[in-house]
Amino acid sequence: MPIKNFVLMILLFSSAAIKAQDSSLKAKHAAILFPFPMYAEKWRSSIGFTLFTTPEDITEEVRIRVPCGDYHVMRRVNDQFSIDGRLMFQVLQNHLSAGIRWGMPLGKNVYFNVGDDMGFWFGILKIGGFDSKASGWLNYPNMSVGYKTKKNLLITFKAQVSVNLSYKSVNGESKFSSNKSYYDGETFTIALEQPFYNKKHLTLAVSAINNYFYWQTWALFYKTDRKVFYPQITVGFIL
Amino acid sequence: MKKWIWIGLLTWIISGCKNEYKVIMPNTSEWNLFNSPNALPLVFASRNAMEGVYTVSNGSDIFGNLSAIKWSYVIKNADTVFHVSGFFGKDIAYFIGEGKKLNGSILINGYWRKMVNTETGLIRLTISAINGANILLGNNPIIMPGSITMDGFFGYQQQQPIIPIAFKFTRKLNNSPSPFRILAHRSGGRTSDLLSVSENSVEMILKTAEFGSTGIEIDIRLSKDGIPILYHDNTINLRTTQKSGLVGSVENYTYEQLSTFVRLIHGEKIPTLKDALETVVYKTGLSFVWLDTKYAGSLDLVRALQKEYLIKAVAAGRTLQIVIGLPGDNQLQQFLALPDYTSAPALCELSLDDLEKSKAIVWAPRFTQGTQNDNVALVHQQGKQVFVWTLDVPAFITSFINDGHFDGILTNFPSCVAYNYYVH
Repeated sequence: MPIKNFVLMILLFSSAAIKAQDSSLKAKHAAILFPFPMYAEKWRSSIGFTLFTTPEDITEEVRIRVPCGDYHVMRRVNDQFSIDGRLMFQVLQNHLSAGIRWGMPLGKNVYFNVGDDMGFWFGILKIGGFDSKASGWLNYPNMSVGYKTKKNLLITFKAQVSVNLSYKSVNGESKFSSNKSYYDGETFTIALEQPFYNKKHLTLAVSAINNYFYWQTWALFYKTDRKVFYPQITVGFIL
Repeated sequence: MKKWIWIGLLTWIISGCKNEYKVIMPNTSEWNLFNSPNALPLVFASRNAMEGVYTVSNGSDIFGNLSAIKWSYVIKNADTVFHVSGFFGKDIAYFIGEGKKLNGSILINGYWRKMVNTETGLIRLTISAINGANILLGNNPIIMPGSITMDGFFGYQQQQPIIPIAFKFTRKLNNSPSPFRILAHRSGGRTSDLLSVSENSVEMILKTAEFGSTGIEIDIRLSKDGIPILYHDNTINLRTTQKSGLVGSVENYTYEQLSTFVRLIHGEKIPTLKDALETVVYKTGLSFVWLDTKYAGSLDLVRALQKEYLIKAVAAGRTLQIVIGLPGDNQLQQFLALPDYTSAPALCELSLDDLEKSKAIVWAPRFTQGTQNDNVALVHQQGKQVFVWTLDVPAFITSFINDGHFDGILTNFPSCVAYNYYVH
């Protein structure tokens, strides 16, 4: 039975992972995106910002180049499982997500995890002729593969898809809501994490977001019928 | 080496995400039957009687269950050219074609397009004599529900139309006693809407009624030598124009320089306001022009052209309103500085106090403030019109037409407003 075999493989890998645990990674390689299982730590967290550009062909001369604050926290559940929480805040629009990760080593320097997050975003705009509010729920299945180099540089490739579960907007007394869920798009991220200054660690990531709807553009335009490309950078300081 | 592998991978991921997005319009000139020398234009009575709300069968999964069918015209080279448009409720779809009669039948030949994506193709329809052509081609045609059926085929891109589609007449178009304005943003739509002509061009003004517009909004700037021209952006850029070598604001160049060196994205010249108003008055049936003033200087020249073309419209027997838009405090002050501002028709996007101060005949709040039914009623009591801008989301358009009391909607998708209004 394929499912039975799959479960067996997972269990075998899990036990191998426990044997292969490398607690030295905790001190040497503090990271938030690298998929290293949380063997010894209880918490990991980082604070930083993300910055993306709006699609010029849609928003024309209107550009949003306001950094979005980014607080990321992880809590160990056991050697393989952890809980991941993230708050992205930009005053006009904010995003909260929480989910679970399951991780394991794939080899001496290669690590892997898979997870799923639920996200909620909301925005309020009451200036310059706007009397608007909007919010929505999203789901983010994701997977990461990480490679640890000999020079303590952690390289992570993360693939994430998003599923839009609901959308609600209010303009004055006009209300619109949709509970129609749809596949929203995918995000590919390459992240570099390494010691930076005085034992502090830094995350630098570049993401290619390819979405029908991106919550940070809610005030500019609604979802499109084609995927729109948003390049995004993330800078984070591991706390 | 590894570094270059990573850089290459990153470049590949990022560049791979950028999809080319364009619409290739199908060629409608290859239907031999329609091109037959015996195929003749339809008369006004036939065209007029054909207008209405139709149920769509066979193609309803692609286009939706209903279509509002309406005729429009433009004057080209002293000839009047009539177009029939069908506006659908799904995916902001429409078809645009021409009609002829041949051997007792009516033929419609054109293309369809969905504004939410790049889908397009040919559409060919026939109303046979027994399916209503005998009534439509007779004297004083009176159309009852079910008495007209249009059968035909549509296809994708340039493929031969082989997918069946049928329309059946159900009722006349919704029309309120006072005119409802379907106002096309930038004269028809933005560059990003991938239309076959450029925003703010004479060519778009000639085409906009096909999309369902009854009026237009155009963006006014001044060239260096003080000529009012149509251009939206702050700078000459590749969103709106082809590569020209000119950089910076259009205000830095004389009209002759702009006319010589700059071409809009589809190759047209940047038009003067005079060109645009000349086109509206003498070549279209449009009934409303909203002059969106994008510059900070005196409105004297714009006012002079407004006055000139309002007089010309009356002389030409046209019912036309031309209003000066007041989008900000600067334009409001410039407008109040006009010696005859109390008699200059204007549209105020600002507060109700500013509406009163400017004596504008139209109030135009942004849609993000909602339907504002109480304020709209207040403005209506003063005998003024209220438009809302810029509504592009189909669900919002439906909601504002169903729940609001506006006299017009400014949109990049006039076909969507037309559908929602005419089937309402």
